[in-house]
Amino acid sequence: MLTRLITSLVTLIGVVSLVFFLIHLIPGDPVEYILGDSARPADREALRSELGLDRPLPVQYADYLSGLIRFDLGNSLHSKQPVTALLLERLPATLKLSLVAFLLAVLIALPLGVLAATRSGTFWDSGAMTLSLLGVSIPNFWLGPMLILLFSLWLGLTPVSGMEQPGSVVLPAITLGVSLAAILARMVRSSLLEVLGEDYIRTARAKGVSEQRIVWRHALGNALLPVITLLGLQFGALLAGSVITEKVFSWPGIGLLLIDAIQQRDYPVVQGTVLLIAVSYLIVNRLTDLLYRVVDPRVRLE
Amino acid sequence: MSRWFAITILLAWVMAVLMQPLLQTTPDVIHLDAILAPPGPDYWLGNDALGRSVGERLLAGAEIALLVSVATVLISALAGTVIGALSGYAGGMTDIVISRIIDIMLAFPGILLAIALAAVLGPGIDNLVIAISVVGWVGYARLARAQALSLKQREHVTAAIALGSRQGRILRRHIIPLMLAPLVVEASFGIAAVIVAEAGLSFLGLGVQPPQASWGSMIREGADFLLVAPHLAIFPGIAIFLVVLAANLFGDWLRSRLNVREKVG
Repeated sequence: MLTRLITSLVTLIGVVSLVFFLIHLIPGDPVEYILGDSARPADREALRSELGLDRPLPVQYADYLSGLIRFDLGNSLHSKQPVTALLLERLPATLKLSLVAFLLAVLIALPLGVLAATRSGTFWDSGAMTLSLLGVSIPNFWLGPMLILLFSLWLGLTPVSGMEQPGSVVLPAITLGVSLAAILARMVRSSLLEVLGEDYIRTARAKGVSEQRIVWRHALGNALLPVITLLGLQFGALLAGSVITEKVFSWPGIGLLLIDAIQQRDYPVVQGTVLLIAVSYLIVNRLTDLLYRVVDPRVRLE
Repeated sequence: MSRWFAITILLAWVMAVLMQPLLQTTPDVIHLDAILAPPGPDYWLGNDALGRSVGERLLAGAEIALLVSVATVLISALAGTVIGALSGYAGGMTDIVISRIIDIMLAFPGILLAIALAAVLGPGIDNLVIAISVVGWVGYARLARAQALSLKQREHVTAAIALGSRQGRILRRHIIPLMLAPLVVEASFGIAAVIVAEAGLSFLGLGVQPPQASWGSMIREGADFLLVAPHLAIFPGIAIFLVVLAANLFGDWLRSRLNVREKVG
């Protein structure tokens, strides 16, 4: 337990440092990049000292770390607001979108996976798996516009973009959730198939327990255990996928903030957003890992 | 059946790229008299907002997708395999350091790191390949490390050590060749992932720059004209979807053919 905590901490420091060095060690001068070639030397110097880039790298790094501890991520070059305030303002929208997408994915994947596993080898199985393959292969930056075209522009059922109107979360959530649903369905299927082949299921069948009860009461619980780990891993894909989905639907979350900041070359905001997403991903991953140990006694014993 | 579908699509993709010089396409030429022309006899798949041929731009995009995906998969698979095999085989401090780095890289959602890298490096095809490779090698390294760990216990490796083979030779001749099957499977799924990443970054404006055509930037440009000219966004999306689907199907087929166990999680 203690060693796991330590490795998590090392990884956390690594992630935090990687974000810093990403911005600071890459060849090319950010000031040059922000102001362009035609900037006056005096303006360059001014921006350089505003960004703190005129100080030695170790000092900048120490400053960055001590800022992090105080939740100070610097100020936006564009709006001059603190980055932390910007992130907090945008976070609820991203959480709402990810949560709805996540629920949607589970609601689609669970029945689909169970259907495929309990009728393995039949038309239902191959149908569900084909659907899942299509879901994995469809890129969300295309699915989004196509859903807008069909449901917003042609059928007039949903708003095109933004999040003010009722029902505006539906299309972004579908766009974001489809690939997760597809991966989950595959995972539920293979995991359930494996559990259904175990001895205790055979015993239950021999006792005359109904097939339905076997699947839902005896097998599914155990089959879902490995799926928990996968959910943790996929949470990162969900967060990162929300960057593209938010761009497609102009959904005012941290993903859109990141893309806008990249276009405005607003480095402190880019750094803060990437850091927030990466750290949340890491924390969720470690928590699922922990949860997995709690719910599965076999892992705890190891 | 699905195998033939996959092979047909992938071959058509490669052929489309190879045939391009013969077709003398002009994907960047502007026809102001035929802006947003719908698909029809004059303009095969219609024209975009500048009157450029969507069909010819699709072909140009196919070339970018092929170049970027092959280059990226080759670079990341090669680097990942060597680093991972070294880590697993050498053990000790080397393994600890490399494993830590792999853990940190995996603690990043891949596409996010690619977005951040592409943003910092600036747009362009070279930077696109660098950004996706920096993210991509980790998966191969993890796989290669696990393989090397189990392979080095095998008798033929012990025999090679007993015969006095040098470390590098053992790695090159006795370990790496045996771990190729899962890596080849990973690489074919890698093609699909890289195409999506390239198109995604170009969609965000971080990849291929105008006027050059990429399937991703075509979708982005088309998204502004969904109502008046839906074909602008529909066709490049179908192209990505078909190629990605084919690469995934091909990977599935390879996996069952080469008898590689599906990785969990």
